[in-house]
Amino acid sequence: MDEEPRDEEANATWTNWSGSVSFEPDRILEPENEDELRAIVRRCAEEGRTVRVAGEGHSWTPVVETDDVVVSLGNMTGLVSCDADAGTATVRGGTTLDEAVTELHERNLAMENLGDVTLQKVAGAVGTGTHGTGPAFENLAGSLVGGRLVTGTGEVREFDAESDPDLLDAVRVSLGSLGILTELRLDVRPTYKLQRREYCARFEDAWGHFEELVEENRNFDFYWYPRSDEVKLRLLNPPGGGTDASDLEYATLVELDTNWWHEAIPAHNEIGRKFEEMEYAVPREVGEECFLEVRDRVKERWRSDVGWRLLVRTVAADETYLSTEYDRETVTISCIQNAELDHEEYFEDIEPIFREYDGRPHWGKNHTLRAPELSELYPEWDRFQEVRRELDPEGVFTSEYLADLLGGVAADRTAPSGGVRG
Amino acid sequence: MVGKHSWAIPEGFIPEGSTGPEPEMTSHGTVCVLNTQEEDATVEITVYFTDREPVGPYEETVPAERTSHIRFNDLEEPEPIPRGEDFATVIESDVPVVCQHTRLDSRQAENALLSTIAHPGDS
Ligand SMILES: Cc1cc2nc3c(=O)[nH]c(=O)nc-3n(C[C@H](O)[C@H](O)[C@H](O)COP(=O)(O)OP(=O)(O)OC[C@H]3O[C@@H](n4cnc5c(N)ncnc54)[C@H](O)[C@@H]3O)c2cc1C
Repeated sequence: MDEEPRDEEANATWTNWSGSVSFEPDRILEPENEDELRAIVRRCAEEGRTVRVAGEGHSWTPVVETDDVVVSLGNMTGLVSCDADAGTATVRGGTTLDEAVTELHERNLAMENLGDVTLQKVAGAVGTGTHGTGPAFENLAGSLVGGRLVTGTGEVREFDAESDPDLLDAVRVSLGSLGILTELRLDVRPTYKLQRREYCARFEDAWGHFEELVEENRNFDFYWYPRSDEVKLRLLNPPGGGTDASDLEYATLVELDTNWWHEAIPAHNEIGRKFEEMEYAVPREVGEECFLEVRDRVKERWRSDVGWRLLVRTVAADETYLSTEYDRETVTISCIQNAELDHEEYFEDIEPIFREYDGRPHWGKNHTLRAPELSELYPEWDRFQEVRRELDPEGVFTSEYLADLLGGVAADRTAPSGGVRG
Repeated sequence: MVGKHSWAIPEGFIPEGSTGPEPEMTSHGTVCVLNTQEEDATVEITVYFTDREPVGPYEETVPAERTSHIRFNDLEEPEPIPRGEDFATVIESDVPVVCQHTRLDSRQAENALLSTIAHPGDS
């Protein structure tokens, strides 16, 4: 029977990248193709089971967790097609960013922007609104312009900006709650080179220049080191562009490198140590003020035990219903702590500051918000829920965590173990 | 050839408070590593505590014919060294280096700076 999923593993443990989320789903299934995936979803819907699709497990939140069925698209990878004239490329749902950027670059194509690493799957990164930095660039979900989605009833829904703009605005950031993306059509552009410059400076000397650094550079972000109160300024520009070196006299150049976009933008693919992270996006106008308050609190209470940096970036506004950048330009501020050390108390102490500034938490990073608070932060929350009811009427994608996070009822797990095999 | 492959600093303490402009006047502990060789030194630092297992190694590079002042405050990986706690360090380098230790305690405005040569190992 070709509906029969292969490569299934009963009672395997699923663990996220940092090790903070670990669970034993009833099944981890790796369908070979879209038809097999549709059969899995249909069967689960009939049996009242939950299906969560996993990316690379780079989220710190339990977005993938379920004691039912986890689907991984590791057999459905690679580039489907690209159209340089239209400026689009289509990748399969299991493709990692790393594979995607390499394939694109080989065809002289590129994405506008990337985050700090390319280890995630494209669908996972899009699904949580993963972002890089630069006021001109939307988060990665903004580069999704169409695709194919296996909905909660096991149907395939093709969508794009022209035929279904509302659906696109809902799907872009949807945490696998509307369906499983089997193909993603991305906005691309001709390939390009960037020059990376990194500077170290005293916080006091650099502070006051941040707004101009954001404005003058293609991609600017900074790390703040709590213990020394120093900053690392990172500037990425077309070679020769960006803030003039003579305007950076307060800082010391520590790195200068020109490379292709996919080598120059992601800086941390070789991460030796695991860490935990909390990140909030606050309106750009209050970003500096919010950061100052966070810095004061960290210096006052957390300097003794927290050595990891805080990272500050900017992201352009968009219209994606559940994007942290919905309808506003943002400054994102992240707190990082070593995975093997306690992070809860630190994050819990800082989180209320982000909340005061009307911050929205990154969907893939530690936070404590749930549907009652989140629904207040997203003006299009109800429209998103309408689309969700339409695409997943039985809540097959609603795990207990998603029910808390987005509302809705988690599917009742009534089927006997192994029932999904049919 | 100047230097040894291993060094120990039994003294270690990062005071919790500081006075004066940062980062210069932030209370800190530092190991100053001098590498007079013509190759880069990869330096591994292991940190010992009074009441728990050692942590490390922390890895740093000291370029050929350079000195590097490594502040214990700034080490992040595998974990930050807590402030206000006694610790000691052992430094191992793949090429011979010379290590000296400095502590700035700026808790009171009349700052105190302490500096001693580290204890060299046999090789
Ligand atoms: C080392 C590291 C660096 C990071 N750097 C950044 C950064 O620079 N910027 C930033 O914003 N974030 C960053 N993050 C966060 C990370 O990008 C997000 O958590 C991202 O969602 C992880 O992608 P993933 O493929 O691992 O997805 P997972 O964490 O496995 O899943 C994320 C969500 O996507 C859904 N999903 C996965 N595949 C599909 C599919 N085919 N169809 C529909 N939904 C799907 C899942 O169901 C889940 O809800 C980083 C995380 C780590 C660990």
